[in-house]
Amino acid sequence: MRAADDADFREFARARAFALRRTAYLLCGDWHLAEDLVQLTLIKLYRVWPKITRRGPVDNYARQVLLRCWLDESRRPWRRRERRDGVVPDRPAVLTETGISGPLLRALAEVPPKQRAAVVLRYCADLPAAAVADVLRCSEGTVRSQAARGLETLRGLLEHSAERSA
Amino acid sequence: MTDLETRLREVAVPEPPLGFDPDALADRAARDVRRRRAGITGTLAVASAAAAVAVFAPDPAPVPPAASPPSPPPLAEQARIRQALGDAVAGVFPGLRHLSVGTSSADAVSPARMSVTAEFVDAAGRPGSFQLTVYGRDAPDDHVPVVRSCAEPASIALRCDRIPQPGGAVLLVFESGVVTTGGLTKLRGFDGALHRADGSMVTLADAAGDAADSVQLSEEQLERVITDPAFALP
Repeated sequence: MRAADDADFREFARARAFALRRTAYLLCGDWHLAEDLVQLTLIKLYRVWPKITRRGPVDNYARQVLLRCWLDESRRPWRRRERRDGVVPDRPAVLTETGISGPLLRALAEVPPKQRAAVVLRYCADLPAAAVADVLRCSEGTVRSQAARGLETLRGLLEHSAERSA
Repeated sequence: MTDLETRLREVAVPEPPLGFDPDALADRAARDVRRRRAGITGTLAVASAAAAVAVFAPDPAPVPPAASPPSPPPLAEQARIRQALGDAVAGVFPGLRHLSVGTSSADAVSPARMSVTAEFVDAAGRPGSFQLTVYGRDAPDDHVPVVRSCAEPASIALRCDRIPQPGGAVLLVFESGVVTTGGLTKLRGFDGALHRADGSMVTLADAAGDAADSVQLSEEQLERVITDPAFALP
C-alpha cells in the first residue's frame, strides 16, 4: 500500500473507531465483542483500502463489513452450545447500563438479528433508508419493513418488561 | 416520528475508553498484508520456475508442480506440545490409562497454529477426550476465532467467567452442560480460551461429544492445563 493510502487509513481508523464500536455494541450488546468486531473490520478494510477509497466514501462499506463480522461471529459453533434439558439458562449480565437507556438496550438485544440491524442503523445511527439498504444489501422497502417489524418487537418487549417490573 | 424512534435516536450509551490503538492495529494489518503478499509471491515464483522448465527443458515430461500443501508447525514443536498436553492431562487425572495424544492434520494450516487431541480412560474407567489448540501471535486472523469476549446475547453457555491471569493474560471460562433424559445425570464441564498479552492464544474444549459417561474438566483442571506455558508457538 502506498504511504498516502496508509496514512489515509490510519486517519479513518482513528476517526471512526468509536462510532463503529458504538454500532457494534448496539448490535451485539457486549463491549469486548464490539471491540473485537471493530478490529476485525478495520483489518479487513486495510486489505482492500486502496480499491474501496477509489470508489468513494467508505463509511457504508465499513458498516457492511462490521455487520458481516457480527453475523459470522454469532453463527460460530463455539457460541451455539446446545442444551438438552429444555431449560433456558440465565443470560450473562452483559447489558448493565442503567438509567433511561438501560431497559431499551436490554430489549434491543432480544430483537432478532436482521430486525435489530435495521433498527440500529436506521434509528440509533440515524442513517437514511437508502444507506441502510446499501449496508444490508437489500431494497429500501425491505429496510422499512424490517425496521418496522423491529420496532414492533422492541415495543412488545418493552411493554412486557414494564409489566413484569410493575 | 414515534416516541420509540426518538428514544432510539437519543439512546445514551456510556462508552468505555477504546481498548486498542488504531495505529497499532494498522501496523498489524500492514504486516498481515505483507505476509500474504510474500506467500503469493513465493507461490508465483514456484509456478514461474515450473513453467520455465516446461517451456525450455529438452525432456518433454516435466512433472507439474503440485499445489503447495498447508504448512504446519515444525515437527519438533508438534512433538513438544503433544508431550506437554499428555503430561498436563496426566497431571489433572491421576491414574488415567490408555492415554493417546495426536495432532489434528485438518487444523495444520499455518506454522502458527496447531490442534492436539488427548484421549484417555480415567481411573474410574470413563473415557475422556479434549482438544487443545495453540495459536501463535502470528496466526493469520482468518484462522483465529474471536472469543475474547465473555458473553453476547446469542451465547447460551451456562456461564462465562473472565479471569485475569499474571502477565496480563485473560482466561475466559465457558461452562457447558448437558442434563440427560430424566434429569438423573448432570454433566457439567468447562471450555476455555486463554488470551496472552503478546497476542497468542490457547483454547481447550471437550471433544468427547455427547458421550453421557465421559470425563468432564472441572474449572480448576481446565485452568491448570490451559495456562501451562508450554502451550506456545513462536
